[in-house]
Amino acid sequence: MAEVGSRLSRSLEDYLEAIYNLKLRSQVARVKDIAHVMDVKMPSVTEAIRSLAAKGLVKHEPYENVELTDEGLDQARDIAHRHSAVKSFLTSVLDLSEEESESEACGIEHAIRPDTLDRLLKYADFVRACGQNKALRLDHFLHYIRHGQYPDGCGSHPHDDANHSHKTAPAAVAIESTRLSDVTPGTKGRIAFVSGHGPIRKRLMEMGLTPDARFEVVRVAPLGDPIEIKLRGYHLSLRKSEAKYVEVQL
Amino acid sequence: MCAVDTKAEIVVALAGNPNSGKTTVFNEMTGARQHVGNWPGVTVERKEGVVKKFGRTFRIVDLPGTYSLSAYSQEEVIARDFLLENHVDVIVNVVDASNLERNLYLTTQLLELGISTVISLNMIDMAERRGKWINLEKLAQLTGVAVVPTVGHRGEGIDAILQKVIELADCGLCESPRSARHNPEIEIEVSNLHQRLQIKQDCAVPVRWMLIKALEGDAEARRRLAVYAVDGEDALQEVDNTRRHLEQHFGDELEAVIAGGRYGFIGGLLREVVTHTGSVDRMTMTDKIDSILLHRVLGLPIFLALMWFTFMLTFDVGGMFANWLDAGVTSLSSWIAGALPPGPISSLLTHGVIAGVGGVVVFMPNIVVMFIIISFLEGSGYMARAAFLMDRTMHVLGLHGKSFIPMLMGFGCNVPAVMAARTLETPEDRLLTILITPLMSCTARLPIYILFTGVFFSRNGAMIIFSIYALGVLLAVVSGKLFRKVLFPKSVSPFVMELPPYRLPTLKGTIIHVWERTSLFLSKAGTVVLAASVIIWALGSLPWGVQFGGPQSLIGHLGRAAEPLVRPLGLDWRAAVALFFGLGAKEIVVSTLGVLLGSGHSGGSVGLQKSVAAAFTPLSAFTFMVLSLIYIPCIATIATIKRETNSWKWTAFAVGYSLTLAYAVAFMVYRFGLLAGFK
Repeated sequence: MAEVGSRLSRSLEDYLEAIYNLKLRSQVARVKDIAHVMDVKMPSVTEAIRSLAAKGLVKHEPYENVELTDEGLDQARDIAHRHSAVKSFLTSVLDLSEEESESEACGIEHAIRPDTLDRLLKYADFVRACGQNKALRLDHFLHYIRHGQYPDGCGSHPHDDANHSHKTAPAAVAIESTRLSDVTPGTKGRIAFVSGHGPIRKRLMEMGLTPDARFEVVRVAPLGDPIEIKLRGYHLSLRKSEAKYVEVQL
Repeated sequence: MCAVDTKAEIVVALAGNPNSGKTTVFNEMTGARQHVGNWPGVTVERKEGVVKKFGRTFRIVDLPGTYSLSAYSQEEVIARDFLLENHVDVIVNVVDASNLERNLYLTTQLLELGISTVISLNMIDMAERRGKWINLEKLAQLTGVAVVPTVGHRGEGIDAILQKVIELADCGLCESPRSARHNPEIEIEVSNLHQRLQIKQDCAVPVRWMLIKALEGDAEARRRLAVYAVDGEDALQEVDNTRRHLEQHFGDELEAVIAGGRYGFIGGLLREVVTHTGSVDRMTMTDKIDSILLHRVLGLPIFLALMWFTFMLTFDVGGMFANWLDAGVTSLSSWIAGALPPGPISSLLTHGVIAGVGGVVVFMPNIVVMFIIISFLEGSGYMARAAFLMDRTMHVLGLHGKSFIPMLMGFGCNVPAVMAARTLETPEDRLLTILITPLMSCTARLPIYILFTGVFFSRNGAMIIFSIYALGVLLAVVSGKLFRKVLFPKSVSPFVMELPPYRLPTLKGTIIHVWERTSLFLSKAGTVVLAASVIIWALGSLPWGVQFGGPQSLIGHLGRAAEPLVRPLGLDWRAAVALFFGLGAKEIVVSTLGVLLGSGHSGGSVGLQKSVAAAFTPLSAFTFMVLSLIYIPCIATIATIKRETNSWKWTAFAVGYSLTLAYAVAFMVYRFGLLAGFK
């Protein structure tokens, strides 16, 4: 989503990613935790947070912990996605080690453009599907990119593969989340955290959408909103505008 | 509070989640001995019943169904204030055994109030059928309160609850509920606060509860703390500091931490209390039904078919009975007119009282039929699905999915429609729905449209009538959005709504429900309608001897005085008078016009159509139709709005708004019409 002009500096992207990962792991991103994770001093963190706040990506009041704004959450999710995608490419295609891939991904994630990333993911798909049975040929890959179809003799078609995203991004992607409003029916997962403040947040939590609660998205209403989920042994419906406050892991 | 002697009357508060079967338990306890009123100052209904059993008297108060006791909704505030202030002897907490986890959330909050509590573990049969075995002793032990298994709709366990209630009431607080432990850090801070702050002896609320809630930032608890602490200012300061400290520690709002903690406590409790036999994820009956009723393609058609069926049943079958009643009233009226010598008395009785009574009872069949259906839709659990299906559409109007049914019923008759707004949960949604429902053009307005289109727009009559209906809906959309913005700018109305399991409603519950609504309509709305009918009669007939509603009558004088007001709309005093009589019932507009216009012609053989053609132009006729659509709903609707909002202020607002809107829209229609060259 981020336009090229407004793109964050590499260091700010790192901060955003760190805050996001902390939120996912423990629902909390405190300045001291961020400093610890990034291995920097607290004042540097405060400085970075101030820049991020100026860009409307985080809120840092009135508590010591840092909250991501909607926009911030979107960008953070995007960075985390780039990170895990690059890392999975490095491990599965180039056969780099976990640690090497991790540290390389930390660098590449900031530079890579969405289109390039998409190609990398597709190439990983292609290699996985075709690498076993056939000699890999560039024209086959180009065919796949243009038409979305593997040449004969390759494995299953990517779109038929329900766990597609899990295979391209294997266990390395422990931490990634999405909004409840974006989850498709039939998907199960756990609640990561509920963002926002005030009555809606409180109400959602009272109805049982607390961190770590398991849920399943049952269906979307015929007109596209609201959605129905199952959690804590009962069925709950909520509007997408409410579900977007709920960050979940699948 | 710890009375050892036996109490003359035991006050029992019934608390529980919506859909926990609380109402069924209440019905089983009280039977028909219920009294329905309103909680002071609000539109939330208060049900109460006095029961004599086992030689004792119980006053049973049915608290509004809530998921929590925080103070975000009016229902929660009411339930909480009642528990805190009214010296409740025993709380009966109705808990749905098949949905323990979420139901117990409220229980954890009730336990903190320090009031003797019995858990009515309801629908235990259902839970067992789903392979869920609940260890009652363990549950009682872990919560510190008595647990009685009940099956509400079969009346099982109700006596056992009442016996337990007696036991608890007689020994006061001998068995103190064990409230859920919060995070150790919070507990430490709470007990620190408890020691540091000096709380006055006369503190009427549990100190622990007050401190925890004040820490959560609850306004009511803070207010009480300021009163009950020896140094209020200082206490609030201390609480704020502690809160800040804890929020820093947890890195989250304390409310959220506590909510999470409660579910944590419940999770641990359930692991010890519940054993599952058989698969938990098995498709339930509800899942199967929903896969059809909420189907992506079939869901809406089925819903619309059900609504069509509801509408037809209410207004066709109900209407049939209504016609019989109407015929009965008419023959009674003519019998009296025949039996009494003509004069003021006979006129008052026939045109005033009987017309008024008739105007009330004629609604009864519609109301009865509609509430039988609504009771079924609600009791079965389909109402929540209807809201689920329609919310996308209704949200555009700033309304809730459940507003659809009242608005649909509005096309039949506004009276039951306004009453159907009861099904909405928050007061704001209910009020908004009530305010815009009268814009749905009811069947009583149709004769007016038919008369005028017949005279002026015979070639495209259907289009004209349709445009009137569409105008009503359009104005409802605009008004809905406007009201939401202006009247309740701060209110957030979360949709977050449970889709309860399907259940077969009980006959007893349905009968009680229908009886309640009908009798309330007759007693509350009926009296207003009757009084208004007599006033309208007086205005039309006095001074005695003039033609009813004619130019010499009081209303005739008023109408002519008001003529300058309607002149800009291209209308004269007779139209104003006709509209005034339309207050009684909209279809009267046509007959009044007949009387007033007919009187203007000699011979009286001139048909209504001809006199209308002479008195109106096509443009003024259309303007008149627009006025009839929007201006004040009929008296029965106004009386129902009063009864349902429990407020003269909102009733006056509804009347004032519709009058203003009607005038403004009619003015624009007429003036722009003239400019556009229509006549």
